[in-house]
Amino acid sequence: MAAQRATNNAAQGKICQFKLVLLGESAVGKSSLVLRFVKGQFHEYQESTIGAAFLTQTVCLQDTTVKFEIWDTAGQERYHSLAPMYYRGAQAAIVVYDITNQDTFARAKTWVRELQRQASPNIVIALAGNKADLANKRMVDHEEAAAYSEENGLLFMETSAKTAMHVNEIFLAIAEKLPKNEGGTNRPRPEVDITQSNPPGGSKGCCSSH
Amino acid sequence: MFRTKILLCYRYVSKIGMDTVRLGCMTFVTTAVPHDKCGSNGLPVTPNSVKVLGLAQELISLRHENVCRYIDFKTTKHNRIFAVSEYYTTTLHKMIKNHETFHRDWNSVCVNVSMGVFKGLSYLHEQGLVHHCLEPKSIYITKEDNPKLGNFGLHHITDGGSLVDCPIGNPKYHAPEHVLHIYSKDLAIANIKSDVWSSAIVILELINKSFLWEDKGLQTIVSKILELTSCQSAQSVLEVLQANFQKQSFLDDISQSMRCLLESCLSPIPENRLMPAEILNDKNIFKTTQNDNSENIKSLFSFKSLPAETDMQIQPIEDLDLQELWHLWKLAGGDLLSSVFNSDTTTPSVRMLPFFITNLGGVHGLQYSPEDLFDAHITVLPMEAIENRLATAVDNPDMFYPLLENKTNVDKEHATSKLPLLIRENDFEYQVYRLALFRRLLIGYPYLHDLLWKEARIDIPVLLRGLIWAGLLNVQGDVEEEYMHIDKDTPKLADRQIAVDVPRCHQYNAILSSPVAHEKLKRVLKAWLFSHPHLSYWQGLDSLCAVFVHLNFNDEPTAYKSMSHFIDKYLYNFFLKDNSAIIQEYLVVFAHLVSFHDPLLSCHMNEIGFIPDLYAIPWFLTMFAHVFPLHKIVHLWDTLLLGNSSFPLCIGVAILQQVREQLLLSDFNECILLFSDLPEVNIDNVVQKSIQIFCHTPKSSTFRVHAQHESNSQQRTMSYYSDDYNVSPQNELSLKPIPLADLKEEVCCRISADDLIQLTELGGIVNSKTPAKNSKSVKPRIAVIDIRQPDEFAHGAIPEGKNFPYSSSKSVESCLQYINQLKPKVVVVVGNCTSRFDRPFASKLLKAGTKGVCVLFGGIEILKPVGILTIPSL
Ligand SMILES: Nc1nc2c(ncn2[C@@H]2O[C@H](COP(=O)(O)OP(=O)(O)OP(=O)(O)O)[C@@H](O)[C@H]2O)c(=O)[nH]1
Ligand SMILES: [Mg+2]
Repeated sequence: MAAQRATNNAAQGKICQFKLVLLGESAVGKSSLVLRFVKGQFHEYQESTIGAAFLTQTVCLQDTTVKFEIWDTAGQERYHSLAPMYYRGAQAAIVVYDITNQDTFARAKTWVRELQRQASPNIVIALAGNKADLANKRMVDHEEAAAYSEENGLLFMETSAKTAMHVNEIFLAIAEKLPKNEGGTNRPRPEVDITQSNPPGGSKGCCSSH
Repeated sequence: MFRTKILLCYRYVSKIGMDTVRLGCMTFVTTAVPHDKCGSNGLPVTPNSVKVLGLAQELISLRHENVCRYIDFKTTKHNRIFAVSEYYTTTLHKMIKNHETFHRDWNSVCVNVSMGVFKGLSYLHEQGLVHHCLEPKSIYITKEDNPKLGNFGLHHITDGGSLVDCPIGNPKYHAPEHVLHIYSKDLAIANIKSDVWSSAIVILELINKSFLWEDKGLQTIVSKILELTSCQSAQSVLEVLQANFQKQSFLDDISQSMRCLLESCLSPIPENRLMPAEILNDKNIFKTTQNDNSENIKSLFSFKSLPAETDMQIQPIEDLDLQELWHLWKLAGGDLLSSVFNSDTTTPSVRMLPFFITNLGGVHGLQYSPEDLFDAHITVLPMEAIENRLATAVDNPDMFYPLLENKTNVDKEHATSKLPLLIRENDFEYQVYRLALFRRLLIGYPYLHDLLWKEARIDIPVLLRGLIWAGLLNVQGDVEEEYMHIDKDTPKLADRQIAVDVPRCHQYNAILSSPVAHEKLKRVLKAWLFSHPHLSYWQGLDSLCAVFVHLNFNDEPTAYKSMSHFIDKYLYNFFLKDNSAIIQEYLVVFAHLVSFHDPLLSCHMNEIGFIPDLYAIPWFLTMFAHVFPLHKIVHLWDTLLLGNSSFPLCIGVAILQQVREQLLLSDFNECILLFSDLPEVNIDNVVQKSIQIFCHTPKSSTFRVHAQHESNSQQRTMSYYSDDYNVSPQNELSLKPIPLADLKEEVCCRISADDLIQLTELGGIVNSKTPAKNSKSVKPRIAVIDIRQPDEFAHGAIPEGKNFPYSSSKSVESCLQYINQLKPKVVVVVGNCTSRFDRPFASKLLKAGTKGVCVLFGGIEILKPVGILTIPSL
């Protein structure tokens, strides 16, 4: 179920890499979304994330191969201060909430606001209403979230890491929307630019609370 | 008191009869839950077998002379539960059946059994339990004629029967009000009063030496019981019952006092029945009620001394605690599953195929196999293997009764202690010896504290790990009292975070995934948060806490206190609301330590920007509890607990070194990917390596400003690597706190002047605390590289110093040559505290792959007032 991996033959044309960060309240399913996207797996008892986790995945569009460098951050508010080090320099962000929990939606909105203010101006933001499989416990209206996304120019999908619904789709939609000539680099081999992938300001407080 | 608690665990070293003590196992199947269902939190519904497992743990800690012990609970696939318990061959049922063979005063037998039953019930009641399965078959009689209640846990572990499909207990002994409710599946009414009724029926059968309604079918029995509700008084209930015995006994046959007792139990109205404790107060019957405490106290101190050569009749098996017996039973090759299911009861596999399976996993058309039906039968576990193996222990009393204070051969080591840990843990004879030894050491805690440390350095037996760790962590005092008074209930802000973290924490472990475990984990976390108001909940604390809860599952106070001490020692202030200064310093010191032991790896990682901040926070914040599975954590911590507060840093270096080849070949992405799925790490190797690393690190090099500087543990001279620079007294030559920004400027470890003096034996300060110096042979070769200008050097230098002036271009090269010849373990670069050329110089050495590089903190200046500098002879 994992997104198609790029084949090595260069028939695909150009290769772009993008740094993508996942943000959102704890336990909304950020790690689960990444795990589904990258490995096609789902763990009911996905352990909580401390600090941040890093994974990569490549998707193929019509004429380009997009390599995502994904930073999956810790959701606990206490780790908030770490977030800038991950979203600074990111070309894309997925802000995740849990459709069965209204508070997580409110938290998602604050993340969007913070990104709009402090992340790079061209950042592509997607809003993911996760745990869509739990429709009978829904607390956040699809329409409400869709309207909010519309207003703020966000990509929006309701996803389920459990059933894989819209997981690849949301990443693909982001890949489509990313500008292929400026943000991503067009290089023969997908190699990492340290200055980009390494969270800038690594010296900045790792766990400070402000 | 903590010490008393340890004693308590051994208070009931069971008295095992020659041929009566056994381990028995009962098994049943819990109700399956639908595969496609989710709980309220969106997680899959916990299997009922796992719920049972969680509920059951509490029973393991119950101890009373009239209650059988539960030893262990296991679950397998297919929702099956195995309950291992103490077992005796004689039941009350057998006794009644074969009453002719008992040549005893039946009246006193009745009194004795009644007393035992009520004492047992009263104890269960105190523990908040209901027996619910009381019948002659579930009452055992030990060879000392002591009645013991068995099977009492079913009601509790099945959550009142709701986790199994079938009704539990024998209806014949159920109270009428209970029978009434059985069909409405309303089990909430089962309470101690129905147990009192059941015990009266049992006693009545005992008095009559025969069974009530023996030839009646279930339906008749039920209607007979229901008819009893029409009786107006307990007396008439008793009359009716008595008339129902086949032998046509009469009420008058029963002594007046016994009749009173039965009447107080058989009232049709539950409220009117007496409580077990009240019944026991009836001096007319139980006049000889002696204080059973006195006996316990006696057994507390009655340590079996070694039998004299002449009366060699050691019965090792009798001296084992049942928990130990069970553990050793498994080590001796015991196989629970095959012992319980002997092959002839299994269903042919064809009959285990369902008719169809839905794509959601629902199974249909499966016949109930006899194995799935509820059956209170207890299988006796075969003891031949363990008995035979233990018989050899008789030949070697040292093994079973190890002496703690032995002047002659103090360090006589057990041959097995050299073998790999896994082999040791599964070696029967070795474990017999270790268990016996640690049992004694724990009884002597805290007085035998030092000996406990010494033995723990060899290994720690699985069975006693919780208590041994508590001992190593210096847990003392009335922990229970303290824990009891901590507010664990008031809602707090961290609650939501804890609530979402706990169901994700070490859930591959069956016990930890049970609802009971979740509650415990939450309680202990909340207790810790409440008692440490300046600290707060960080994700990851759950993983840490889970280790202690799992280990002390039936002892939350010890789990709580062990965790508190652990955090104070290893994670001091890590859980402050703003912990960035603490973590940052920790990571910088860690990076320096990596450069000290593996300069090439360190250079590579710095080059690609793979900094500890990106991978090591979960390591240290949870002391690896978030990154490894439990079975690895316990082995790692067995050693960690013996080290000082800097030891975890060495573990970090050891882990890096284990994957160093991969890291050296990898770019940033690959490196970080490697650590997001930590590869198979061999913990045994990490442990060995980290000890080596520790012993080769000058202790001042791991100095941290934010470490805890006063230790709450008594000074131990026992463990050479438990000595801690962070808690040693400071003087003008010690490392001084410097701002974090300055610390980050450093390229490698720092060494303090006092440490240097000790290592080079310059100052003649003999009470060296450097681990590496403790034994003469391990004293590391040390190179002192003085990089100042030759004229400065000529004016006074450290006696062992060699001058390689920084300004000269050839210096580094010739210095490397010098180092190559000398092969020192520690290379101290000495410069000026103002120019700090020692930094670039050291970093060149690192790039060249020189191990053991550090700079002298404070430069040469710090040594000037001490007067140990000499004019070097050229
Ligand atoms: N039913 C359902 N459960 C999900 C889904 N996605 C995640 N979960 C569950 O929600 C819980 C939390 O998921 P995580 O992926 O750990 O959440 P997170 O956002 O990474 O949490 P932090 O690491 O604490 O920030 C886990 O128990 C998952 O199994 C989903 O799509 N449907
Ligand atoms: Mg996560």
